Amino acid sequence: MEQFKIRASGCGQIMTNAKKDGELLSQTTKTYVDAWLKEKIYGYRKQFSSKQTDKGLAYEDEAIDKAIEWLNLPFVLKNEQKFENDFITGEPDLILEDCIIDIKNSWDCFTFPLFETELPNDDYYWQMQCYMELTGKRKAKVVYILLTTPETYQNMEMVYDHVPTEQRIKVFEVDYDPEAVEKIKKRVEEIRIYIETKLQTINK
Amino acid sequence: MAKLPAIKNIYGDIELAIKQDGLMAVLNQPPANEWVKEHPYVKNYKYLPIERVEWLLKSIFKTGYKIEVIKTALMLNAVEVTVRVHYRDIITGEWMFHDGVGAQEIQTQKDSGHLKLDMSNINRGAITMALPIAKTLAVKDACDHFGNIFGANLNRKDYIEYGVDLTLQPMDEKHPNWEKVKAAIKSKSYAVEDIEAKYTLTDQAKETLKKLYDGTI
Repeated sequence: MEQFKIRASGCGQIMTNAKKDGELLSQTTKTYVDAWLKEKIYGYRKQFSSKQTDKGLAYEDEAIDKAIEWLNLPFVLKNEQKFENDFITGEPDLILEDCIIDIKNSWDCFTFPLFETELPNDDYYWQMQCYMELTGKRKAKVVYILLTTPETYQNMEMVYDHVPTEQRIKVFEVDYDPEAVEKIKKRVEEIRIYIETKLQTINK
Repeated sequence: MAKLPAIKNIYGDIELAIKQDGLMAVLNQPPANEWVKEHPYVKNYKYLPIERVEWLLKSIFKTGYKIEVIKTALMLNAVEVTVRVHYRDIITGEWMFHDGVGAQEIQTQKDSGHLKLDMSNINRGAITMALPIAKTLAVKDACDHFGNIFGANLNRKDYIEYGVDLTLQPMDEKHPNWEKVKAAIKSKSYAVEDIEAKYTLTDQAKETLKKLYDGTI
């Protein structure tokens, strides 16, 4: 079986701390790793889909286009290269000369972090650390974008075209933290030991 | 969300209107302007949102309607849904129905072209996304038969009006990022083919970018 490496997008799930004393890995981490193991054993990738992720996928290019325009970025196409080292794999959205950018397409105005002054989701902090470690960049930006939500059977259309641009885009900067990256590597090693133990239980 | 207006506020007393002019006359009123929406990505396409269609059903037929999904299936590279909108005729009390069909193309993985026969390039969640859209279209298609008030004459091909257009705005001098693309081509950060893979390029725009890349302008 291939060695466990953490996907950048899943890093937040393995970096939660165990609530019980003496436990090395949290339940969230174990659940994530168990799913990874099943993927390897059975050969299927766990499928997850929601209206939020669907919108994110469907409007990915549109969001990048808007980010370039609204943030006055140099022109850049979505990165298609998968990066990998001994511990981490990942594919950041945009790679600029001095930073990497990850675009988060908000489902609607209520999930758009208009008033937040700090990155609202810790998972994205860990994700950015992974991307920076993989690409060698030392700055990352998490960019939230609010695009019109198309009508589906379950929801009405939500149009935001009339809203000023500054209320439809929000940038959170994340600096590279070598200590955080070391913690990720250490956790990956702990998970590899957990995986060995887990495999022994099914190979008895 | 703004509270939906009662139909009598727009067309007077609906029951009186039906009594005086008949149900057909009311159903064939054009939809109020404020109900009609323009598609955000498809220019000049107008439609009635599904919640407005459902609101009309509730306002006119009260509890006397139900939506039945007759069939869901794959058709070429799309999912199709057939629905039957049952309604109780408010004059005769008789249950009747209108059928409607809707289809939505299945989204494929980026740059993988049309849906392959073995569906190996299907996008994650594509069916989950396409099926409810197809159902929405089918309900609207069925309701078109009630008359103009349901938006029957807004567009002759309702499914086109509704379909989500995921094509990016063509990359030419009208695109807000045109100058940046030119700069990227000039500095050879990207080749013209890279831009063409993502955007629609007019012949003129392509020519300009090629010349920039070659350094002839």
